[in-house]
Amino acid sequence: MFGIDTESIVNFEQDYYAMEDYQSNIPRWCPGCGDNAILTSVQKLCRDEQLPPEKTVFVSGIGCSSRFPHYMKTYGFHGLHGRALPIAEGVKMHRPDLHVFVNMGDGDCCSIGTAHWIHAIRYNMNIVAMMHDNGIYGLTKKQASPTSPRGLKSNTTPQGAFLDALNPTLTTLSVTNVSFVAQVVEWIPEVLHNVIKAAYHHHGFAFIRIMQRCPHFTPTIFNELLQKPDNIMMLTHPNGLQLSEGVGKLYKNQQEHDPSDMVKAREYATLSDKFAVGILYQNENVPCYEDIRRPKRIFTPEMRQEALEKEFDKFSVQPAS
Amino acid sequence: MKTLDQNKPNGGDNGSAAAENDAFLNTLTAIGEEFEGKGGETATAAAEDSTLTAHKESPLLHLPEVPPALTATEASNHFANLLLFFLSGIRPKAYQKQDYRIDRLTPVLLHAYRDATAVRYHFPLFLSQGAEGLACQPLKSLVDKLAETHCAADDEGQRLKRILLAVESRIKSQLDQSNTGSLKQQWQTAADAVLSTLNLTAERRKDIAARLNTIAETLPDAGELYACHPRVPLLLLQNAQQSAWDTHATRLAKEMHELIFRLEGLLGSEAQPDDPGRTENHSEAALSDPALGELDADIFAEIVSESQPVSLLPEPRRERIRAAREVIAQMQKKYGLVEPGSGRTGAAENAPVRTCREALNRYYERRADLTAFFKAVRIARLEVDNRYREDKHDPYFAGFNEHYLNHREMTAFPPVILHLQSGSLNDADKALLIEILASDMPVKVLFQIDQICESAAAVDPSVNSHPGRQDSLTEPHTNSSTALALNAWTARLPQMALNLQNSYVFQGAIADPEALLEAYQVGLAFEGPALFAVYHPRHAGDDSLAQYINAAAALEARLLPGFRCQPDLGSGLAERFSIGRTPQNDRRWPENELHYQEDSTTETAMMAFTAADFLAQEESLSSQFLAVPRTDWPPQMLPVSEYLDLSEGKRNEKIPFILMAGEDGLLWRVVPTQDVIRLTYQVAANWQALQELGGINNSHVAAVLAAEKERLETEKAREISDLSEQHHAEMAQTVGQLTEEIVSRIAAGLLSEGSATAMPAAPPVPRPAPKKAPAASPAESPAPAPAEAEVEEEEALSFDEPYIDTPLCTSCNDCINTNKAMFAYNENKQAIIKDINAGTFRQLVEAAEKCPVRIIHPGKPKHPDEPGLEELIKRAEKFN
Repeated sequence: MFGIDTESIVNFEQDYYAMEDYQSNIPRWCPGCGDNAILTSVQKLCRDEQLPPEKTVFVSGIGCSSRFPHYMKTYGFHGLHGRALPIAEGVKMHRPDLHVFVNMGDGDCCSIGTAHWIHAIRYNMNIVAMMHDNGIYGLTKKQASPTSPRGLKSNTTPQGAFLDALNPTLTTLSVTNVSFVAQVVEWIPEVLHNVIKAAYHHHGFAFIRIMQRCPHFTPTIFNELLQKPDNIMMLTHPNGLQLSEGVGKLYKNQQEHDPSDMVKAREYATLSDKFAVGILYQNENVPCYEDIRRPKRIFTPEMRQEALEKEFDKFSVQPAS
Repeated sequence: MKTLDQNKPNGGDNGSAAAENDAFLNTLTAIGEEFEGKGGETATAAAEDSTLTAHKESPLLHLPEVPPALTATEASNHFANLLLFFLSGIRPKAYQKQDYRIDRLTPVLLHAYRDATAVRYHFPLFLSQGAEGLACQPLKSLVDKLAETHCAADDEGQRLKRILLAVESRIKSQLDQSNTGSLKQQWQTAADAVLSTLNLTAERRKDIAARLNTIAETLPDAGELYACHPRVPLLLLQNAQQSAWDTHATRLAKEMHELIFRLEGLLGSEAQPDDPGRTENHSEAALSDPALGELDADIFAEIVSESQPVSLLPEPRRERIRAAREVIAQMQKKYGLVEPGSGRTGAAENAPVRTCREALNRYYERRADLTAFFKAVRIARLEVDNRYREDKHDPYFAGFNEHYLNHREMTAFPPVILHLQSGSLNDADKALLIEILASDMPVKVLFQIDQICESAAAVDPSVNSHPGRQDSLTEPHTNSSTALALNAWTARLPQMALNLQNSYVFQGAIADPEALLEAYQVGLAFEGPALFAVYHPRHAGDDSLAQYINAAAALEARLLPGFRCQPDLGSGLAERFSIGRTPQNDRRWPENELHYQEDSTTETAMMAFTAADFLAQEESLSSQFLAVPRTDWPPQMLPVSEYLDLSEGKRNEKIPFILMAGEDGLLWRVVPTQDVIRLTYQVAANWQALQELGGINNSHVAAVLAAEKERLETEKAREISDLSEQHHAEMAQTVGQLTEEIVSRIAAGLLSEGSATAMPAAPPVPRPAPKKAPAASPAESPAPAPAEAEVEEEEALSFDEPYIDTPLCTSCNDCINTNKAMFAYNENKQAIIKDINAGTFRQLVEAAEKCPVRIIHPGKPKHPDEPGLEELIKRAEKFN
């Protein structure tokens, strides 16, 4: 800013945050749970970007994945089922200077929280939203979720799920003001990290669907992808995801995809035999709600009082002098 | 270049083209336009417009009739008389008459601009604050735009256009009285006045009034008109400064507003409710009905009044925050750092000062304010971010002084504006001014030059004995005793500042207000001191055109060449220095076409406008010139610009002259004194120095170029001679060989009877021996080796050693939970084998089996005596 900027602030010591500075409790997720990989990736992002813990907020709903804020040594808000997004929007609206992340599960986001999800996309606030999609309600011990594959036997669908799974990526892509949509699997840490990083740097609502294994209830639903790397189609682009040599060797099925191409993005979101991984769509030009709505000036309580009293004065009866 | 030679042969055809002079002075390009339109309207229209076309065309320039040729004696007499005047300034007896004074003459190139009512120029100037900042444009271009939009090409449209021009002319004369006024108001008054002078029917008057009103509505609402008067340079500067400061202050105010808001947030976080709030009644009112059923208001009030929250802020911190807030608020008030519309004050803080001492004092005061302000701001920022550490920051802020401020902070408050008049500069100011310009203080100096040259006597009475003057020849009642000198300060101060190399320097004249405003804007934004030297003539009276013409002529005549130097553009002169605003800056003097009549024939000549031409129109110097009629022109006369090109020795045989014209358009040759020529020469030399700085006709470059050209030429000449020698030698050799071959062929033909085809087989050209391929090309042979080595190496690894594909680890804790001593996380929280000996091969295999992403490779067992090894090796196989 003009006149006064960061140069004016005396910085005697460069605070440096290590990974440990973002780790709080030992996660109580099951051994082998994919949420661990997401947690590690996010902690790595915080360290790489040196996010001040006091300026970072993780908001979640209810579910296994929603224990996320407990394991981050930052501010956190473990909210109500399906209500992570409205809380996060409130935080961002009032404190635009904070880095806001949202972690929710597939049940949280695509079932009880659907309305909030749709409108959060439309509001396009500068938030990173990670949907941990394991295709099951894990915390409540195996009930079918909207993203459970058809035929998955669960406590609520002992005969197997009746319906085809909801496609959250396609849904997100079709909402007004969508600005960032990515799809990724948690077991390729490098790609996961790069996509979360891109989402963090995106100015607007960044939605990432993360395919996450549940070792207990849905250990096999991703077998096709885990065992046959060619079933994963890596969407690469100079403006999108770029692979390291090692990952490139392992995942040979690569396709160049320009994230500004919405039509192609929808095509990749609906592949039936393959699973697209990468940034499907990105548009930096969509306005953010907080930028549009943020008041141009801050009003102190005194100013508010003054204005109110001015209004009240119009109705007061003056004693005759 | 034609020189209007009197010996030109008489006669020629009778051309009738009007002599016009429309291309003079780039700064005055638009001047040639005149207000009245051309003829060709209907009688009614002409009658309507009669008041609009009152202006008469200026008389044509013409040479007097060719006089009879001079005899040798006459010529030598005239030459002697003029030489006497040239050398001494004494008017010979023959030229004592009033006719030979130049008071009623104008330099020929300025002749066309004598009638102020007919000329459109940069003034009145319209200054407005637009979306893109402060901008200025001449009223004439505003009127032209209006005419373009509202006036059709038909007669009616053209009549309206003439009315608009009349309004413009009217505004001009209105402003000659008031100097400044708002555009809308001036326009309205002028339009009414013009309308009342028109000879119109009632209906037509109504119609034209309506159309004028429509046009008036499209005029910009805000904005001021300025006539060309001496306060304009300062007014423009103040406007530019205010505009820059407004933008800056709004941003700064917003930041401060937020900062104070946050500081108050810190102080307010522990605000205590007032005592009345703790009373029982208040509690009862505060609790709603259902709550009252379950809560006892008395007890509630008791609890509330007893529970005094402990103060969260330690006292020193609270004091610090308060103090910072206090200082910021104080400065906000002092410098008007409030958002627009909230009644900004503080303009008085920035009224220009008149002496250097005052400027310094104000600068020191402002610097102290800045130091206090930014100290408070920095403390506040630290406090707001909760980063203030007393052990470290206390000593830092205890020693806080102006050296801690960075450049941008130093310029956060409005710069000091110093307004100096060249005529009234005293010695103390002179010394301090250099000090200011050499420093890095943001002091912006407007140095208004009101007189370029003055008599040496006025500068210093002791300079009475000018070296070139012969006192004995001085005639008492002429004014030639005053020797001429460029006013040392006006002419040299900006150039001296240029050499200091750390201040923004601009030199220009009021005749180019757009350049002036631009220079102000850049100079005000410049971090250090800035000097704006602006020429605004003092002696031209109230006539704003005369002042304007004088200023423009000074620019043209190089007496005050326009230049600017902006040190932050780069370290080289090419980047920081420019003489771009001086007209025709690649020439020594600007040259313009002059049309004149001789024997009813229109002639065109190129005329240079020299410093002598400029000086000739200065009233105070009229005694330095002598007008000579055509009958007395000796053949030795030479135009000044050509005279200056002569070598010292040749000048003695010549007398320089300039051309001037009387009101009737009659051309006179005017002989200046030696002093004027010396001054002209000085001006030319000074201009050449500036040109060289500006990269034009640089003498060093020219010398290097000449030397380089000579070197290249010799080199090339040598090459050519070498080549031709070689060629000759080769020719001789080839001819010799051919002769030999022909002779041998003839001989062979003769020897082998009848077989004409038998030719001596040319010896096979020995093919150049193929370059011996190096036995082992260094580029190729070693390459395969590492590849092989790699393979070998890879084979050598042979998966016997256990390892983990760490980058693929998903941190699921499975292996860690198996054996914490054997497995661990690296700094990225991804698994590595920490100590292979800390566990058994069985654990290694189990971990590999558990790993959901199958990245643990157990390899071969280390200890052959582990039980069940065979089975384990089998299980491990699929992971290796």
